[in-house]
Amino acid sequence: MKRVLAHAGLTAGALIMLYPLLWMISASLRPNTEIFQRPGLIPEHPTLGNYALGWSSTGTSFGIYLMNSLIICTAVVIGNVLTCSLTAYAFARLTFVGRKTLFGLMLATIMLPAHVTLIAQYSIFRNLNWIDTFWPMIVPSFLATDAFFVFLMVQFIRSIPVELDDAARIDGCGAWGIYRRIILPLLTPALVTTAIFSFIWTWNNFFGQLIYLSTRTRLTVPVALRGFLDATGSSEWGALFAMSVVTLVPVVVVFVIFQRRILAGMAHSGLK
Amino acid sequence: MNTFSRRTLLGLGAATAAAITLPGCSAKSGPMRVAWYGPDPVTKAINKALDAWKAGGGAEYAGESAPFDDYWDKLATQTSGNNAPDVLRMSMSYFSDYAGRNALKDLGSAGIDTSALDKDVADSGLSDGKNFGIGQSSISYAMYVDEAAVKQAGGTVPEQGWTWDKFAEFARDYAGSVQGSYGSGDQAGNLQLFEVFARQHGTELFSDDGGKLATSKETVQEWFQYWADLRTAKAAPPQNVSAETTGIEKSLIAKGKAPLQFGWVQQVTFYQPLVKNPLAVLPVPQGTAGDLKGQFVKGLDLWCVSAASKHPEDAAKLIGFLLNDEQAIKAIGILLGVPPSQKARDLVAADAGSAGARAIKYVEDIAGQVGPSPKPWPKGYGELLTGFGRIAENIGFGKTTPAAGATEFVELAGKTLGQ
Amino acid sequence: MIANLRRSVPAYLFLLPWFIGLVGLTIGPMLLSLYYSFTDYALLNTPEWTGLQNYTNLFQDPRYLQSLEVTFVYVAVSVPLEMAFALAVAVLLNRGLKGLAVYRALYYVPSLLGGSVAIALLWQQIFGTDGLLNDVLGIFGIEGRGWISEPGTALWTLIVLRVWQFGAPMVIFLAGLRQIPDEVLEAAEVDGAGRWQRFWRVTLPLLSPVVFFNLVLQIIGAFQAFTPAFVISGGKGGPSDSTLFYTLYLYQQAFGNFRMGYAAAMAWVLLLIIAVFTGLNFVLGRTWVFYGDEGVRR
Repeated sequence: MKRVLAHAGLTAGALIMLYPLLWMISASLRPNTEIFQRPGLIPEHPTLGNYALGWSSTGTSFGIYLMNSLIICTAVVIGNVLTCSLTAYAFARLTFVGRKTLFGLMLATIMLPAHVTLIAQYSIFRNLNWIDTFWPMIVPSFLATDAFFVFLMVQFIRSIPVELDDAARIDGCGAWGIYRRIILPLLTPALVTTAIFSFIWTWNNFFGQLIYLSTRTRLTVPVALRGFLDATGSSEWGALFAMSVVTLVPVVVVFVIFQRRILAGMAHSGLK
Repeated sequence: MNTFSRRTLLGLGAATAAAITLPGCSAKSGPMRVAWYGPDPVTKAINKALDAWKAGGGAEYAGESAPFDDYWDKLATQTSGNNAPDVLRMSMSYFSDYAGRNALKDLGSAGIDTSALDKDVADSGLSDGKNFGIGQSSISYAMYVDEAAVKQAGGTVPEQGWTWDKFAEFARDYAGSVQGSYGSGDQAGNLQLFEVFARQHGTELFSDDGGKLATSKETVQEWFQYWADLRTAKAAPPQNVSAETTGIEKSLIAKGKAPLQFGWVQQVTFYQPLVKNPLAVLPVPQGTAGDLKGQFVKGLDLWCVSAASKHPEDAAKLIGFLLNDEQAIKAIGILLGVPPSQKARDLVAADAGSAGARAIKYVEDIAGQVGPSPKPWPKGYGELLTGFGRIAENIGFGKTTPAAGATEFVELAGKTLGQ
Repeated sequence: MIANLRRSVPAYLFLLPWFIGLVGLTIGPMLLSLYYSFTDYALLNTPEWTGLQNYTNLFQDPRYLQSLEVTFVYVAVSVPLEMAFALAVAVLLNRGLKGLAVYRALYYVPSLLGGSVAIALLWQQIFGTDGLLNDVLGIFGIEGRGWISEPGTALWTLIVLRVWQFGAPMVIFLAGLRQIPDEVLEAAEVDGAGRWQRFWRVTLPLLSPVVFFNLVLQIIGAFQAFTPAFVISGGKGGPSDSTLFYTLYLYQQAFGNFRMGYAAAMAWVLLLIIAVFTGLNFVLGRTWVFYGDEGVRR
């Protein structure tokens, strides 16, 4: 009985969560004029026309934007998982001069709104001749610039019993060995979480990609999506929703696959 | 940093700035870059024109485009990062911000052929005796009216145009006779329409040097009061309804809740597909019936060349091409607005009876009757544009009065202009 | 000192990538923006030194004060709500119910949508005058209003949006729950602890570093919230500045009005505000956050 109730509650919640997605799919199947009528979930004259229109609307196939986003997001995932875990390990487990100061400095980097550092960063990337390439999106992730993930991993590492490190040290492991054999395996849930967020946030993050990318064939999904709307003219709402639905597919897939990994992560204490 | 002094900080800033703009690391100069804003149809059309440029032996180029709002964020970053595109589409709203800060090249001696252009458009980019941009289109403010809906409600559209008083009367009658509809959308926050209103009161909106407001506080107050009265009479919608009519698709006329809409003339082509009946393009209301001196024709968007361009000759040639070449004219059509020359208007030949054709005809009809073009909008115009809208909104929500709102706008203009 | 530095070498090697990023990409632009905050900088000109002018102007600017108020309300209301939802749902989904993977994905969907334009339109369709919410209220005979288009309620629709997108902290809580060894809970069960006791005595203390992380980062994130207001109000922060978030106003000044110096001053004041809150969190955290490296001399 309790179980039934729990399921009922969860399902009701899920419907509230799901409504927007259903609405978006429904809007993507309507002709432009119908989207702004009374909201309902069933399109009167369903059509797949928006998908065809959106896919090739800009004269460049939408597949190219998907590819570009995929390349950037994959690279960012790898960069963040690698370098943020290195950084977090040092902050969480190692002793060094200036630890507290540097930790505070690291946190300070996410306290300043990005809009005011954008111009100077743009100049740096221009001097490196990286404007209109993927590097400005990718390279920072390989330099652990996202303190969110570093701090996340610090918290997870600090909740791992330090006795495990000591045991490994007795077995003759150095800092690197402990990181590789003890910390990384036990950190799986945090690493997977980092991977999920890195992917999804980069996938949706339009501002940097708008500023750095110019050539049509190098544009990414969020930039292309915004192209369907323009305050000065007519907007392609139907195409926008159709392509929004299409761009949701990869993130949903990524989420579902990686979620499994979190669960497989550790249901045991990890003591060998 | 306990001895925090100006010098330390200046030193810090300078050192950092030096680190960031390392000498000898200048970006490599690739092909000429062309940037514009606009929805996808505009992008397609300009690409087509650029293809014709290349086929005709024009220089190598790379195109980049963005929607209007995003475009300005990007252009500001590129320009301050010393990486502005060579040829760029420039809106009159931001023109002085860029021209006044030396970001644009003087095209006075660039040899661009503007002989075919309407005079007011050719002169749109004149600022301090220099020519910083060439108009792309001839536009004027207009009112699009669903005449069939007006007739159905038992009203008439006067032959020689409405006075503001008659217009208010019409709006009240219409709202009274058609259930659930308003006589007009609320234009209180529309600075561009207010500019016409101000000129009808005998002054420009801004002083010639762009340093201050030329219109009076009383005129601003009269304007805010006019729309407040219409809202009170339910001839114009309450503020929360107006707040939900952002964008063309959600406008009252598209939802069948008003018989008319104000806007720049070429925008009628965006509204027409959303309205069953043909929209007539008419002058906006006047102080004296039939006197169109408050209105003007000018270029709202310009082609400019950035001051730092490494391809100034090619950039100038390309602008000349976009304005004068037959293939380019045909490719662009009326997507950027009503074409700026008689030759182009004849070439484009919008389908008779289409909204585009009505827009072209409107510009040609009123060209002889409008007043002289105002100077380019001054530095800080963008801020005043949004500020005017915000103040009107505050009045609409009852947070302030037309009198106080007018004072606030005059103060805002004092703070913003002449900086 | 030298000995200490020598002992620090392995740590510095681990920190090398981060350090390159800090020196090469982050610190310079941060310091430069600090310098801008003492200048009149219109993006296209050379900055002119104006001393503390920007800072004194801030506190005489009614729109700035409005943006502060909006942001504080937003942080104070949305963060606790979002945290509570995320934790409750995560604990619920961490049990052995069948089909949980599906629910997890469903509950994360809103967060996938992020700040897409679709959300903006959807929110208008739900909270507009003719929206879904008013239809539902109409069934119960309640007179609706323009929730999203009236200054009194617009901010609340954005708070609802944030709470509704509780997916990110939920996933982090889930990951934290996964790290708690089953043996510990089993041992507590053997000792006769009930379900609630196990939650309060075992789960929550072991989860506290993650709770702490979410709290700190959600507060920082809410202070810096930009996208929802940017997308839903079309960048204006309307109606009547009722959703004028701090960073949205900062963005308007920097890119819309060409006042980068002023925006930089705003940014540094925000950094100070956030630093104070974060510092407080760290101080208070000592009393309730339990780490696995507790009692180790560091």
